[in-house]
Amino acid sequence: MKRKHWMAVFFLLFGVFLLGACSEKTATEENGPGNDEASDDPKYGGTYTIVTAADPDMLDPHRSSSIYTHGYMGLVYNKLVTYEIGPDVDYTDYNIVPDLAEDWEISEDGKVYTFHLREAYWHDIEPVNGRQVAAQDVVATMNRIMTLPGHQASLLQEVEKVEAADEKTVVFTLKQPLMPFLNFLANHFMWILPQEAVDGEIDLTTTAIGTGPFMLENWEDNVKATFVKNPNYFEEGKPYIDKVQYLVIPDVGAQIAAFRTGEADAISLISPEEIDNILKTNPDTVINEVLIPTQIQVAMNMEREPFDDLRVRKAISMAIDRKNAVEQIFGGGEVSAPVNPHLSEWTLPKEEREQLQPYDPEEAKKLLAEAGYPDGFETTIMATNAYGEQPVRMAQWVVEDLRAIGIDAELEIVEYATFYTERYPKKEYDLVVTYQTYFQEADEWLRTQLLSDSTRNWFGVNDPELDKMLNEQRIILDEEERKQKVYEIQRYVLEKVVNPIPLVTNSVFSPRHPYVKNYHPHASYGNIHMKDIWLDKE
Amino acid sequence: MLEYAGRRLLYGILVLLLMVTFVFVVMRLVPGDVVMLQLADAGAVTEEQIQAIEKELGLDKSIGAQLADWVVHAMRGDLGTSLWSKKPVAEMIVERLPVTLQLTGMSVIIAILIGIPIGVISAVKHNSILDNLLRVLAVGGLSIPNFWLGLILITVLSIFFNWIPPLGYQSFLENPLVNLQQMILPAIVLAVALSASIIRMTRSALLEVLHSDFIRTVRAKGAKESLVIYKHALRNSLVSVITLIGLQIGTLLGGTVVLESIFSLPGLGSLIFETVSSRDYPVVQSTVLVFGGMFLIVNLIVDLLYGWIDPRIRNS
Amino acid sequence: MEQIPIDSHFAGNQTQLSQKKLAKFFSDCKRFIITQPIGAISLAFIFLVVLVAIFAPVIAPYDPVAQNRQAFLAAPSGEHLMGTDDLGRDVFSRIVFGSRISLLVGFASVFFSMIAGIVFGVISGYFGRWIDMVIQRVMDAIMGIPPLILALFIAALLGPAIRNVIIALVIVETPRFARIVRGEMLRIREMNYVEASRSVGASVFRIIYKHALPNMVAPIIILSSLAFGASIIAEASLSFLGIGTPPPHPSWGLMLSGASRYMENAPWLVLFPGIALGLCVLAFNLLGDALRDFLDPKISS
Repeated sequence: MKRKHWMAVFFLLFGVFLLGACSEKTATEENGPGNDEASDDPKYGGTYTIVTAADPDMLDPHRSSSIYTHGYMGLVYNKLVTYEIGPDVDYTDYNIVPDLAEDWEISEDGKVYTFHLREAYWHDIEPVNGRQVAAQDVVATMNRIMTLPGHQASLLQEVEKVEAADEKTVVFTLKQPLMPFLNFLANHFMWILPQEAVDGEIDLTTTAIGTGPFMLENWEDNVKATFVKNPNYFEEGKPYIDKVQYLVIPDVGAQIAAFRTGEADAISLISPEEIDNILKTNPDTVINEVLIPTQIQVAMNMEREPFDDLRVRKAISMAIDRKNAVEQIFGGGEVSAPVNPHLSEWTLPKEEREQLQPYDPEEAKKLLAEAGYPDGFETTIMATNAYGEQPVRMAQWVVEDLRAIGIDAELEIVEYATFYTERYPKKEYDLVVTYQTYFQEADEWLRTQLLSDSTRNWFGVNDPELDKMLNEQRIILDEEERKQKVYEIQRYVLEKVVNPIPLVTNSVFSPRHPYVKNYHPHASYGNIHMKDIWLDKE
Repeated sequence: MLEYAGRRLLYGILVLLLMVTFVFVVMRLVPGDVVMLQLADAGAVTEEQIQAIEKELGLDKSIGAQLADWVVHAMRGDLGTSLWSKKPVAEMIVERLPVTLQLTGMSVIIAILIGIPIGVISAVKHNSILDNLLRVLAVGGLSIPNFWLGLILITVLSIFFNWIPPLGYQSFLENPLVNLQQMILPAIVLAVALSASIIRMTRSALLEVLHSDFIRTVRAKGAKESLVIYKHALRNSLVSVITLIGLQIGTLLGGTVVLESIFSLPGLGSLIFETVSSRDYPVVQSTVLVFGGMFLIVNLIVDLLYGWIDPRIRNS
Repeated sequence: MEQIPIDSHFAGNQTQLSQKKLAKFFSDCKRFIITQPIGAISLAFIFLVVLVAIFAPVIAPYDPVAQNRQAFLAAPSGEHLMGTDDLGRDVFSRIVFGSRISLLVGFASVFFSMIAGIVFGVISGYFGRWIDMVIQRVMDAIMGIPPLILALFIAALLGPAIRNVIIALVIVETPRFARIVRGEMLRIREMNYVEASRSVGASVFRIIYKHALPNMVAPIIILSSLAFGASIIAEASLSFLGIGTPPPHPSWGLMLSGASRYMENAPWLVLFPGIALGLCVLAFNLLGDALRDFLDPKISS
């Protein structure tokens, strides 16, 4: 029962950036019968009940980076632009499509973005009472995001100003051209609030009033959240379901039981060990397996010996049996790369990832000997239990693998707050095994971690040549050309930097009953697929 | 009597004050800083940002001043707001308190319902095979880790009987039927250790009384055996059972944390757990305070009950 | 267990006296075995667990943290008596080594809280007045928090480590020892012979050592035995909650915590550590009971 999710609840969540262990998304590979037949006419009505291991500690989408907050708030709010979803779209396709903005123009120098808002209305709730969405709402929201501390502000750091040209037109002026800017605006932090909320007339920590397909009816912290259909939603005929209900059940056993007895239509996330148990009693269950949008990594503190030596880092990389870990620890997934594999177009091809990061303990021993450590050395591996059990098991796996090449590593589990405020950022560790934060753009994955003066480069990576490449890739206007540059950077990192070592991007699994139709989730936070779902049951 | 209760209460408040100081000081001494934690995600962190958040959270004053502030507010019933969710702490506690209270209360009742009859049987039939069997069971009950029992129980029920407690916690006032189904299992598990103690205590207290001169006299006067037991002996041994509840209430309250986690109940124990790692100081302080308060009040009630059951104590 | 050092301490420099004491000790032991057979069996069981802990490397067929990647979640068999866990580690070897953690946590927490309890209790009881007042109020405050809640608070703050579990438990247990010691100190302070020895210039330590300590031995031993069992359970509970002993150490509670999700497929992971834990705690509880009956017959009938 407990355990992993349990931890998830209690630590994870209450913290800030959780991720990993709990991606709420689902979907590319369908396994089992009963998915949507396109010929079916959608049915309206019904309540869709999902069990989840935990819920947000606050609803304010600009103050919380919790996947739970955004998972709920994506039902209530919209962004200016969002990602395409549908039967022909991959879970990890990041195609920008209109959301609150109907269309937009980009100036030739790439510095001015003009958005034209569609005709949309706020939920019919005090104090906005269903008024029309205006450019001022967007401007106020953007200013709020830029002034609150948090990762989201850095997404807008190139923005010089945001103005309302008229009631329906918003103009962003950038300091310099920025290729990923539309992607940044489609990020889950960019939910648009009504002006009233920015002005403090709405308590954003416990309530939410937006333009989205569902309206928040009730949120009982740690118990459940209920959303009802928004009758004035701007997409004609959507949503199909009357009500979405999240039940918070930390205990895995209880989650499964709820699913079996039909009390729940879906489980947001289940560990691979449980899948067989579910299929035993409910063989028609549809299981979605998707890659989580982050990865588990081994990082080495390059300011400490012997990790300043490339040969030692390479030896460690070669010592780790990633492919077996994927199956044994996570029950599915892929070997990772510097750009996370869920960004399928930007990460290195799978074969190349595996080929560039071979498992070869013999060669590793040779490298260690060359570096002057023929008998290995003693060291400490730091991990935190804040992300549930899997990272801790992965850390134990790494300990065992290092032992095989003579490195005697002791595992140290560090309490969450200490881990994130004292040890990791202040580089007080030898090795660390942990999930990286969820990034949505190749640029975020590369620059945030590897740029020598990045605030999230907690590893001591300092490579002027790499810095140059990192800065170049983000201003290449041709997408194909930029992609090649991103590949080149990744190859360079895997050959010449080898830190942090990307290990595994694991799969997560979420079961649902076969009557849940038109289910096309997306890797971004926010459950933007919910408006399309319908239930084929009486 | 009233004066005695008043004195105890006053003293209790002093203890609570010290308790809060202890928790406050310990929390600030250990590494891990709530401001840095909140900024962990924020790219470049400037000194101004840190100061702004410190000010916003009220952490810019000296620790002593913060403590004094908090205590003064707490006395007026204002426990502050969560540093993370910004919700009033009092509200968070009021949401969670009923679960803990109900769980503890139900398990005390269950423990009494199981413990006293078995204890009486054990004493009446003392040294019989039944008595020995019950005694072994009682000691066993004391030694089973409650989380293990809870795990096994919930799994066995769900695998073999396909029964699980209804999902999504509902309060007793909302839906008593669902609520009882949700609470009964954890309450039983929690009650096991207490009922084991009650069995042992009842048995030995009853034996002592049954062998006393007083009962012999009553018997000699020709009173019926069952009447002797129920009327006199049981009443006398009630004192020891009540003492026991006073002694064990701490263990019970602690046990709720573990059971809340296994049975997915949103109680106070999980609140402490959740908020310690995010360094949500006001919430942790208040929760510890509430636990201490419950402990204190139960013991006060136990003391008053003594007097009620046994007037000799009251007068002494 | 604590009886031996204290007793021999008292034997002091006079060999004759110490022989007498030794003889008394043995006759006490005999009487204990005869009058408290269950207690004696429990003691024997605990002794067995101690032996298992000491000789763990000899008894355990495998390294408790070594992963056999050919055998994940293997069912009990001749090769793996109690099966293997989700990382291919031998459950039997982990249980054998786990006894070390349980005993270490139990012993260290009882030992240190006993020392701290004696120090605070003596200071409090001997000096009285405001010192007593301050110490007692602090102790009351600590005891006013339910033990597991306090342990959880401290362990969660400090992070998962065996050392931190011990620190948490020492903070929880110290006031209980201190209370006993203080009570005893207060009692003898009132006695005339203490006044007398003080007036003839006997040192503080001598008075405590001569008059106070002997009377405290019995209640301290009883409390220690019960605290030992409670500490083992507390360690397991904290580890179960993920804030006690960290992986990969083979703590019984930790093994249970990781195992619960394999309940349906690998029940041995839940069964064996639970049984080991239950038996161990049972032995300490029974021993505590027996010691109470033996050392302080008037408490129980």
